[in-house]
Amino acid sequence: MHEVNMDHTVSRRRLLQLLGMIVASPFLNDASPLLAAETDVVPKPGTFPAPDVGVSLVGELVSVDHVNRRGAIRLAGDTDDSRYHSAPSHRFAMLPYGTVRYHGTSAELRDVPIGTLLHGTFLLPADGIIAYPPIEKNKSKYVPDQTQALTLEDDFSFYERQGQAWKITAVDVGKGTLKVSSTGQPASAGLKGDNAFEIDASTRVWKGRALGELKDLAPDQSVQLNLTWAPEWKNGMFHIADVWIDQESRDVAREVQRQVHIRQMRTRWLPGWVDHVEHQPDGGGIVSVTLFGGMDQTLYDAARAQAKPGGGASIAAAEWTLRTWWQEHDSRNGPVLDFKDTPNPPAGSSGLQLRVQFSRLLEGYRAGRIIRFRPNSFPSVKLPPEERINNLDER
Amino acid sequence: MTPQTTILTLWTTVLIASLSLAAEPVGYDQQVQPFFKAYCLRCHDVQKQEGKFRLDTLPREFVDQATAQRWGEVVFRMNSGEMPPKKEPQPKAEELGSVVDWLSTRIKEGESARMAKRGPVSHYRLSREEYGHTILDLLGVYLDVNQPGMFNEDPRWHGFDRIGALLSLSPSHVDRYILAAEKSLDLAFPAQPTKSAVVRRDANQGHEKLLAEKKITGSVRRQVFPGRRENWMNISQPGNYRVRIQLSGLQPPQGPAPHLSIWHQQLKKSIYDQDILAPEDKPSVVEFESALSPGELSLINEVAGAFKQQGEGDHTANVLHAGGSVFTSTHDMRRINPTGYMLFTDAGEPIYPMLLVDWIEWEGPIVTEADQKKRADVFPEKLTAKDIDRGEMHACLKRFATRAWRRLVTDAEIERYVKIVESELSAGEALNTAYRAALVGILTSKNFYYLEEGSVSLKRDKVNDWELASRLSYFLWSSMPDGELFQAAQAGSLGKPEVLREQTKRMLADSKNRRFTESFPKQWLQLHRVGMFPPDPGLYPGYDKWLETSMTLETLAFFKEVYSQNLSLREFISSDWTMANPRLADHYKLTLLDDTGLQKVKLRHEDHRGGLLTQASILSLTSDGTRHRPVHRGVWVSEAIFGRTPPSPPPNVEPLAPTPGNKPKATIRMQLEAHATHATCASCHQKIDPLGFAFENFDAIGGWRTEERVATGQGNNPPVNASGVLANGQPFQGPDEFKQLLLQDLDRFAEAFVEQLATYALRRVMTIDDAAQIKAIAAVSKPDGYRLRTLIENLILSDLFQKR
Repeated sequence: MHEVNMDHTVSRRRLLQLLGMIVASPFLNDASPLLAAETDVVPKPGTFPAPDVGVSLVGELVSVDHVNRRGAIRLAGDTDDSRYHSAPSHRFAMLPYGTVRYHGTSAELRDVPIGTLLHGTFLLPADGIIAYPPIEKNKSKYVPDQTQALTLEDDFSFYERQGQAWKITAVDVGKGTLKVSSTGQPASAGLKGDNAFEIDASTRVWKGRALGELKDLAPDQSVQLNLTWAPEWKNGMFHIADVWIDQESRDVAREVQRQVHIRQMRTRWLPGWVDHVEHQPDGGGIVSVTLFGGMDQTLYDAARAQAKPGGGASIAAAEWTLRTWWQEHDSRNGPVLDFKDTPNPPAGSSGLQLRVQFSRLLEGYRAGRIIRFRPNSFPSVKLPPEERINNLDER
Repeated sequence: MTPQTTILTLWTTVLIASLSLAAEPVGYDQQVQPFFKAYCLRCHDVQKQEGKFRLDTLPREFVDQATAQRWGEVVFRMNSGEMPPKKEPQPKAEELGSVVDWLSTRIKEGESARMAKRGPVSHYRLSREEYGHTILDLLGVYLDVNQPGMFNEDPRWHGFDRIGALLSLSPSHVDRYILAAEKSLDLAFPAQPTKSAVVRRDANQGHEKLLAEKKITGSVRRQVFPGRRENWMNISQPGNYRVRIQLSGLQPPQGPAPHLSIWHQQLKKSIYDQDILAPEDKPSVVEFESALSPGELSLINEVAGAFKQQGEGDHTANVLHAGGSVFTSTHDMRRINPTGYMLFTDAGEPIYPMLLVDWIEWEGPIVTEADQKKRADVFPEKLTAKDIDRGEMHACLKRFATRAWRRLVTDAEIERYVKIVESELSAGEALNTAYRAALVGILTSKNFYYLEEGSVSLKRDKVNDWELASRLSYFLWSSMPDGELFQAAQAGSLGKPEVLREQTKRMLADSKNRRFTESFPKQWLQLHRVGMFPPDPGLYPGYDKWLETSMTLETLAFFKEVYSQNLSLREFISSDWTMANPRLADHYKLTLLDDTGLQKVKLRHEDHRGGLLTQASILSLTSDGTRHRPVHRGVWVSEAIFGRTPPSPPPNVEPLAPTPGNKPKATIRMQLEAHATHATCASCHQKIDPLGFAFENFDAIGGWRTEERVATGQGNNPPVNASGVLANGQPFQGPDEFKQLLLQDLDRFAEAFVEQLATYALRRVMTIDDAAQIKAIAAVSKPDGYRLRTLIENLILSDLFQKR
């Protein structure tokens, strides 16, 4: 059980401040869904949030604690001079079912380089969980209360997912500018229309399976971009870190990242939480778990495949950060009795629920508690020391 | 005479003596001679001596050791089928059985007579249990005679470990008596005064800061799940301790109660056992006093079933109280490591039988005024190198020796010990050390560790008053007489019936009489065999040490209840009550009990219990690790209830083989019945087996069953058959009818019981010479309905009790 944070409500004053800040952002020049969304949602362990909740924030990743799935973003400039000079970065923690997408596919925070501009949805600190970042009484007016990340995406993932791309309208390598115009299905938020960004020799141009050059950029190319910091960030200016100029380059980037993700999940196991425990005599029981969403489909298929005679899975107790203690040693293994797929699952959920039989239950197998699930086809390896929890106070 | 020569004399006397049994045994001419003539003498008489053996001249004096050995050989050859040889005419099974039975009976009777035959002085060495009690009552100190390196286990004769003829003395015994004497005196007169202290270990200790930091209310409680051992106590000084433990005991909805066992690591035995039922919010305080040897004591939650595999639960134990984990309540599991086993449901119900320990406290060594008084005048008052009062020293040693040797002591005897002191002093030893040497000498004298009865110079048929005092005290207290008994002996009045009756009454009321109610039933019923063959955990997963202990506790408590309420011996055969604790109630499927201790429980007919014979202790001590053994059950009933020991089976009997896989499943009884068709086997088995078959409804650990679980063979498990026919032709169907048949012959049981009681009291095997007196004691007890205490008093007041 996690310790209770009683101070999670957003004051009306803070909410108004937040909305004021967001409305001034260049990323909200369209009708914002935020205005209709519920922004002061407090997540509850064991319950996925309702659709379209939280606040959308955009900012550049400035620090990462990948072990604990925490970090900070510098919220994008909104022309506010004071904020430009003194606003602290916005520290956040990923919700356990919070997803990261990078290069158009599933990722972990550790996969995203510092400096990457990210689009995210954030909720208030969860009920009954020690808040990270700690709630400050006198914090900056520029830092929203919504510190719990439900989604984080780079530009590539954000725009491509919604069907929006960029068409190069002009390239001036000498002046270091690239002009683009949005194309395809307009994204629900973010940049649209004509935009100009900085480029220079640090800009990575991806072409086919290889790294290209700035001279490969040409008008009419349909591209995806990943943006990063530029000196004029206060006024919404960005530098282009990466640009994928053809479909093959985007497919290669996506596939490499997908394999990074699969490797990570196979060794760190699939996160989820316990829905229900059915106690049986002598300390045994049937544990129903739902795996979190956002992972590669092959991983869910691997889990489903264990629901057969001779199949099985290990479940390790995990914490809100998805860290485990000593997963291959401390977990229990048992047959997977069956699985159930729920269509259109809520955000954070895969919709895949599995039931596993155990001869002994662990303390961590309680409804609402986070677990890591290892289909027997995954390796059982010891994690590096820095990833393991050794003491309750490290949670 | 040294003890060794006394024993030699005793045995020599036994070997050369002849009893009235040596007269021509009745029935020989009718039962045995015609058989020998028809089948044996053709090869073993004056004409022919096959194997250099002549049968017709073999004496019928069964009390003679050598002759009895030869008769044993005859029985063996016939039992084994070796004789008569196959080529010769073969006797019918009944003929053979009859002769074997006749000869076996005579040999058995001869054995008893040989063992019981005694010279002018009889020596009965104290059993180790009696030695410990005697030291306690003499010096007021607890000497743990069972601890490793102290005394060996005493040899037993049909369960009795105080039979003088068996308790011989070897040089290693003498070494151990010296060690025991020195240790006893060290305990009684330590170099430094014994300091009593109260030590307390609190589960909350050391966690105060963490609780404050984390804003956790309440106190830390130690979770002890089944099989876990918490090393909490350390005893540095031997002695009597008072132990107190505050804890809750939580029973899962469908499981046994948690069980507290205090385990002595060095002695490897439990010193306290108790089921604990106390709600989480209402912990109870368990308190007990126990004599403890130095060592580490562990607190164990000993429950069958869970966490039996090697290492299982170790991780949970490791993380439960480490890495920042603390437990204060089932309502607050925030600070519990999630990788250990779940011990409570979300609703706070225990998943396993759980103990939640708050603190443990032990106080000791406790030295009472009564204990101090026992050793107050052992040392002379003035014991300094400058001031030796030889007269006072002599008086002190004499006083001590009189108590230790339990008789009048002459000045000449004491002078030897005064000289020991002087000799030690002249060798340069300190006076204190020199005096202790004399005390050691008194305690290592045969006069201390032997009970002597008789006089070398005067052949007596009766014990004198001093001997009677010891006989009485070792019977009822397993220890030396107290001051009052000594006074009665010294006054020469103890032999008078009214004095003896009064002393008996007083002694029965003394708390030391508890030693009788524990020791006698253990020996009579051979309870030392309980757990001798631990059941296979695969076949009996519910069996654990606590069940095993509870089995013995039931039988002892049952005996004590019959004793303290002065109930009839009938209760031993059949009763509508028993003494059960929750563990046994669960095993017997009785109505659930609310209290944790042993309690008197009313039995229903469908419980299938009542009396001793259907108690799990009896049913399991006659079983082995995998199955019940009807023949052993029959032998036990024959010995304990009828007082008759069947002849031993011949060697090389083929063991029962598992039923082949292609044959229908067969019960042990079915296999035995097939086995017993052999003529030589059938003669004995026809008598023994029905006594065991009556309990076919009980498995190897005394659980009720209607079918027998058979591992091999085809088909369903076969139903059990608990019917049979007694040797007198009376049929029975099941244990209840069997018990009723036994009740119909209560006189026989009463006589057998008196014989057992007399064997215990007189420390020797009863012979046919004692038969009439045994019968008389039973007869005089009959009008009172064979009440137990009455029967004991009648034994004490009988001629037999004072017979030397």
